[in-house]
Amino acid sequence: MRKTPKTVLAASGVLALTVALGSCASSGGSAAEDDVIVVQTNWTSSQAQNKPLFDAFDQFTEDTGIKVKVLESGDNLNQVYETSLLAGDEADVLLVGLLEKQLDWAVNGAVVPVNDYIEDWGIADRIPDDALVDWTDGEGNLRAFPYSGFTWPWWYNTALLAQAGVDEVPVTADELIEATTKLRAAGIDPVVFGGIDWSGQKIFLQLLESYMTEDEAKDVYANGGLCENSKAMKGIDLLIKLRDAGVFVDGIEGYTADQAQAAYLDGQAAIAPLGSWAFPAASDEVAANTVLSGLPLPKDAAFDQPIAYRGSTSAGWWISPNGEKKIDKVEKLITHMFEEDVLKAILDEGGVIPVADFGGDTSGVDSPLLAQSLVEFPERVAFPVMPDIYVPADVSNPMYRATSIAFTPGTDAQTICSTVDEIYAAQ
Amino acid sequence: MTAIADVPVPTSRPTAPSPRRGRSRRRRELLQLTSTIPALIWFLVFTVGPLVSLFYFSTVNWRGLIAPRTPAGLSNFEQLFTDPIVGLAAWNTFLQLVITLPIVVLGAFMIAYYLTLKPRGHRFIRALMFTPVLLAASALAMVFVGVFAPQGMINGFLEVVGLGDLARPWLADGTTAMWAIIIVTVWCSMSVSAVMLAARLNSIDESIFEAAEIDGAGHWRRMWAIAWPMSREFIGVVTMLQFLWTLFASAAVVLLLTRGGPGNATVTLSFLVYDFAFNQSKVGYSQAVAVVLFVIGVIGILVIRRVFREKN
Repeated sequence: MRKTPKTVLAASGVLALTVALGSCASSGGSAAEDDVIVVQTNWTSSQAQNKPLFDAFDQFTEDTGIKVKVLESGDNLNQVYETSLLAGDEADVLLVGLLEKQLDWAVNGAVVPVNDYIEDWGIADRIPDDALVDWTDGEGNLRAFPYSGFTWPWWYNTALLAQAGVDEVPVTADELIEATTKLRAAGIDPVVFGGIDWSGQKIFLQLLESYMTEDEAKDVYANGGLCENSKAMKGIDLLIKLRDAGVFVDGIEGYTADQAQAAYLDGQAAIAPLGSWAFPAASDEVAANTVLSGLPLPKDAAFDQPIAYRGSTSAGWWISPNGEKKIDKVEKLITHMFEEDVLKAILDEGGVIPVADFGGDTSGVDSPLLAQSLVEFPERVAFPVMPDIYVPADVSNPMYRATSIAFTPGTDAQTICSTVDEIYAAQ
Repeated sequence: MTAIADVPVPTSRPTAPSPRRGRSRRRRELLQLTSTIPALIWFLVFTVGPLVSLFYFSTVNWRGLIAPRTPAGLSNFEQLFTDPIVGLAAWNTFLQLVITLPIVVLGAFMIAYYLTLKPRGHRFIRALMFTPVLLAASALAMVFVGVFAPQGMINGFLEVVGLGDLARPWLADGTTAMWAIIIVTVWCSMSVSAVMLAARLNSIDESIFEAAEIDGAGHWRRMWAIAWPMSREFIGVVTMLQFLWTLFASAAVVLLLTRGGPGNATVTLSFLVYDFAFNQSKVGYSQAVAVVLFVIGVIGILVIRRVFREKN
């Protein structure tokens, strides 16, 4: 009897496996995908403040018939996007901020410069010039459409301050130290932030530039050289002075940004530099007791007022090479997202500060902290250079762990500056 | 007289295999080979391929997936042998291995022996010991960030027992951060290794232990004089797996807990492979570190196999 069944079975198995492996490959766009725009973003649907964004997508689909498929990414957005870009399968547009690897995307061809599109689509006139400058790289490429900004005030819980006998929000470094002494005597933690991560890095750099001009700060952020820069060293000395005076909560070097935010919002700490993204998380009581101000500085600092960060780089609309193939549809989506009612909804309901001109009506803003940040807060503070767009992409992450040692008791200025300078030198 | 009666006596002269039978055998061998081709292709593409590319990419300068590559020869290796951060990472990796391996292997073996005694609730204990495996790495990190946090469980306990002066930010203190990483590594590894070893010890005939007990051997002697030598080769396998996990996969623990900080206090070689590639845009350099890790891994496996080779 001829043994054909096993041969046939084996051959069939090989064939089936080959077909299965082959079908794993992307087959590219199909006709059904032409009416879809894929948006990749780290604005996740699980966060309540992003509801207006997803509502705007639904409205867009209703108006145009073009579906919006949202690809939600977290901290790994860069890796996911770059990997899919290599496969030619990247999202059409991205809604994400400008920092780290995104700084080089336009230069590397990962995204399409939007210099012409922003003009042709009538959006350029509604974007402040300084935002356009922030979003433009060294080769003149406008990387993306600036969409949302942020403020990064220092939050002062006036109820806790009053409990400790501090009647006024400190506006100088000496007043801050004096307030700290009273707070500690009352058993209240003073200043808290994430000493171990990116939020601590920002506070480190904020102190670093407290004696510098704008150009000097940009140069130090881009090139390092802290140890040889006398003004940078003055900033580090100020950090050490505040640290050793007990201004920062005990163990600050071990706090994460989330832990710091929780400590302030739970009423454990009286002062915390928290970004505008934390406004929705504040309870009514905390919001009512919070005054937004800045980092108090010595009288000889480069700023006359307390300083706080603000920026226009919280999120922008980026167009990928795939998106450029569907540019007509992308134009419709992006111009829809810049409509005044969409921007207003994102501001009023989401608490997100739009970069573009939204008509100026803030009457619909529910959040008292957001309202304060738009009106009174800018009067109380000066705004230094936001480091994210000047610190090279390769330096940012190593700098997070380097700057954490600055908050460790006993670390001297020379160790701090040389640790940071080594990171710049290694690039 | 006993005859070798069972040996079959050929009844006819042996003949040479016919050409037809030879073709049939060749067809059978070809068929067997054909059925393994998909697995071979898979192995070549997804195992050998990446291994070869590892060596290639270690000889280029490459800033990222979408950036162009330029040949660098052996300059990445020259740099890493003089890089103080790589030196620190190598020391931390060595420390992690020499502390973790003995604790995990010996501790897991003792737990496994205890489980073979089938104490009350041993099935529940076995299931409980799988908990670390069931936790995602990120969930695990959240747990231990909370444990080691300035306001976390350890400091809270120290306050309660009157040792508040010893409280500190364990993950942010350069003298304690690496020890915290090692503790987490041991915690993750001990239980799974214990379950694996318990399965091996359960296969040992109980009568051997009973006989030893009758002869007056206590548990300690039974454990090390009987169970250990009888499981020697399997213990070698577990040691090898633990060595490889600690060497390569423990980077996730560093990444999620300390990101190599404070400063560079907790960088390890496997963490640097990730950090150089994804955070510092030095993909070629990271692959050079990966090649070194690969060599260390191969040497480690050979040494462990030799040490735990069953003695005849």
